[in-house]
Amino acid sequence: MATTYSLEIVTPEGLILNEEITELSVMSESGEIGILANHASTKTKLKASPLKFKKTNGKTEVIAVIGGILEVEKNKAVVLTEFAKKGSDIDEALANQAAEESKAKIQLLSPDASKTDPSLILAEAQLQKELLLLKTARLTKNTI
Amino acid sequence: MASQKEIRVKLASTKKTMKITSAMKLVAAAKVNKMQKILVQARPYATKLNEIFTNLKSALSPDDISGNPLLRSSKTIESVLLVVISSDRGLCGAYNANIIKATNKRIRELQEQKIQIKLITVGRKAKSAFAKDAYQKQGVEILESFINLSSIPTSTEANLIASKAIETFVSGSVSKVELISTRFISLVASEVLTHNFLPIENVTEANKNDSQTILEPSAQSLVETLAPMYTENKIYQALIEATTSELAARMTAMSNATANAKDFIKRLLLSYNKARQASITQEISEIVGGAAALG
Repeated sequence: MATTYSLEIVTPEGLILNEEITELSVMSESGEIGILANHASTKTKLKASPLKFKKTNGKTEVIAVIGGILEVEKNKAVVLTEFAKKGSDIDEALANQAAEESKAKIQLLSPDASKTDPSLILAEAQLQKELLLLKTARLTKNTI
Repeated sequence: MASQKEIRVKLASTKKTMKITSAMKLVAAAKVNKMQKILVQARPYATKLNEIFTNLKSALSPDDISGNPLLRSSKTIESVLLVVISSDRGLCGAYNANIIKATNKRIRELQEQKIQIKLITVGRKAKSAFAKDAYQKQGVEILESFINLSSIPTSTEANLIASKAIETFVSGSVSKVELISTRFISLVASEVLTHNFLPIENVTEANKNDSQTILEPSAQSLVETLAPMYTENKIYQALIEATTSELAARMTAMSNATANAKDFIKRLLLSYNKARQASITQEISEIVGGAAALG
């Protein structure tokens, strides 16, 4: 039986990752799930979360994904998501700055803007994204 | 015959024009290369999304389908929303003219069936073409115009356009959404396509060996997540195909313009030399004539 399987992360901007891995851990809607080789066929919704996987050389890597779908079929896992970024590619200082900016924007908007104001929703989404990037960057540091 | 000075001025301005067109050609060529790469990169996502979505959709019961606002089709079609994708800038040959022609054709077809038409335009050219009074009198209404899109379309922009179309469709004010855009075939060929956008229809046949798959939370909820992703991606694909076609069209148009300018310069030079020769000949004959009169 195979002990490794391939993981692909695909976004509209292209293939982010295509690697042989041994372990994968994702946040689905109902909680964290781990996937080893020879897993049953699965399709599941993902939350915006850091996705962790172990490469064949034993090293763990982290990738931030914002929502999307994971499909596992015949020892091949595919993550379809609108946004994904490798932990090692994240500029922490930049993400921190962007998070602060979004926070300030939300502060500025929240007193009089209604909850459905598009600019408020956008700012909140931006903040969530930057926080996720920060979390992923920190996880990456801890695993190496 | 034009005077030497007139020809010289014309020659100088044609040379300048040629410099501009050949520069534009080079720029378009560089950009089209980049866009082609993006087009190739975006393909795996679209293919995979299509595959998963079609498989999941085939697992849905008819009740589930009519329960999903993006899949539900209505029996009678009273009004249709056309999403027209054009470009912001001209100088790209017949690119925009073709889009507008195709849209006009579709508008006429729909009007013959007494169907109301609403429009969402992308790009300055479509906006100015359909903002005319003649269209408003016919009841063709522009709901929104998106202009000044970035030179390389982003998924954020695609999402904005898609969400406007989805919003209009879900609210029930139109019963169908069609997308009119240019498909990129090669650097010298592209075609304008009109495709059904909403409700989402089957594009490819589903392979039905999926019964063993664990679906979490459920097929219905997965389709609910995927349907907006699918529609947004379709717009994104259309945008990048359209941009690539626009650049390819511009490259061809500018290359033709440069060739024409070159031709024109050749002819101008010839007539300039003729005019010069004529004036020299005239001067000589005047001198000779003058000398003869004195002698």
